[in-house]
Amino acid sequence: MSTPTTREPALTTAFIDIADTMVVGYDLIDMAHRLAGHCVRLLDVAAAGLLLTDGQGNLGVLASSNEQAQLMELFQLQADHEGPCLDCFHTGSPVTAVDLPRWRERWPGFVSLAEEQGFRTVHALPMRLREHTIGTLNLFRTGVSSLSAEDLRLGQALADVATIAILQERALARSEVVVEQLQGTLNSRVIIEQAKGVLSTSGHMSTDEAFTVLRGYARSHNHRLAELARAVVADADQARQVLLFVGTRS
Amino acid sequence: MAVDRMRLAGALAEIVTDFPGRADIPGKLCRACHAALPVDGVGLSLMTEGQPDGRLLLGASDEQGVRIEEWQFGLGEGPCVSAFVAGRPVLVPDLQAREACLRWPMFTREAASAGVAAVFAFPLQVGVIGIGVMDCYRSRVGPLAEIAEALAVVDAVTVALLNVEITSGEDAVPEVALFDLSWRTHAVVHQATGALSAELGILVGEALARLRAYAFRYSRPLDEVAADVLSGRLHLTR
Repeated sequence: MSTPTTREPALTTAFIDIADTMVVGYDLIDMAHRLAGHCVRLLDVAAAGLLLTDGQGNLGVLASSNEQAQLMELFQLQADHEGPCLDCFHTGSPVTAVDLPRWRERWPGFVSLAEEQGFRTVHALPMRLREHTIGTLNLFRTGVSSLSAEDLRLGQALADVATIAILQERALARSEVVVEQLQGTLNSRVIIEQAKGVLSTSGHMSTDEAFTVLRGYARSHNHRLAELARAVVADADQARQVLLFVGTRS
Repeated sequence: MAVDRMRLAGALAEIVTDFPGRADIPGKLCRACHAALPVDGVGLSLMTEGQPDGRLLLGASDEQGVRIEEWQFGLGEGPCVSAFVAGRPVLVPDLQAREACLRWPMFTREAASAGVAAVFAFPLQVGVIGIGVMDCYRSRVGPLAEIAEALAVVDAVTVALLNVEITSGEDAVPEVALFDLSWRTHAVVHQATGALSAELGILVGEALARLRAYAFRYSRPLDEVAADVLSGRLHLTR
């Protein structure tokens, strides 16, 4: 972890990076993915993820600091059943659980799965704009202690940036815009999963590697992640091109 | 107004599996959706996967709905068209608002003359699988407060239409398991769908239908079947 003073340039970079992605036509899922990555670099956490509401009271996984199936499962479990994220989403307030075994009664399934992966402390911060709680930012630590108050403030600031990016505050986030954005984003996430499946089979790699490949190609060709993913699923030639590109670079 | 998702999904699935009545599936679905939502009418446009310019089957809860659907596709513009292209809902509480008139100049003019004041268009989709769009319309201006209910109806219609492919066999009996919607948020199901479509060279819509049909036939959770396909433990053949 960086100390507050050495961290400042990195912090500035993080906000500029996120702000940069928010220009017209920005790639929301890529932004969320970067943001999760920034959380791990800037805060003393081992993993981070963003969950987003579908407008019907359910949560879906938007992005994770790495796309390994095991970690994704931990977010998925919370979206489906129980865990600090769901509590945070329902109350709109931060949830902190230090020393996870002590929370076993409240979230038995979540605690077991988190422990298996070596996590001992978890924070869930709300992604909120006025009365709308649109999702949560989830932070996992391997140590048995809470993040510092300063780190928590910073985490919340990052969650707020994500919220604004998702709702594109222009039009003052009419509730219609909120629903349109959230539904579109969740479907983009599904498209990316479908594309990960296509690439993993065609390129004989894990779905985790497939995501890295997809993201690498999107960046170097200036494509939006979801648009590239759609092309990969719909068109075998596009899938081949993406795989070929990786082949030539490795 | 709460919508009982399971009951609605069950009712919709009965409609789509009602073999003799198959001709008017869109009309019946629209009337069922209309009954579940506080709107003046519901229109449904179906798309054939892999054929973006393919023929559209139109259905609506009433005559006005049929007209609304026909205009949009005749004119090539309107909330329904935008929702399908963008892959997200397009909610227009006031069709005569400046923003709406600029976006769909011809459609909004037609709508005004027919007394349609608001349209809420929802794509029926699972990732890349685009089935169609459901339009809800009202003769009065104002937001759709029952948005969660509308999204539940959209999910139910989507699954009901997906079930057509799975249950279109002779001895098709809609089972409760088919109405479970939880798989829609599960990454592994979508990954396996993509993997199967690449492996067998079939469209993603068909790949999802194959996975669901297999899970249905062997009474296994779809998640498990999907994980087995991804890991190579299970091979579905063409």
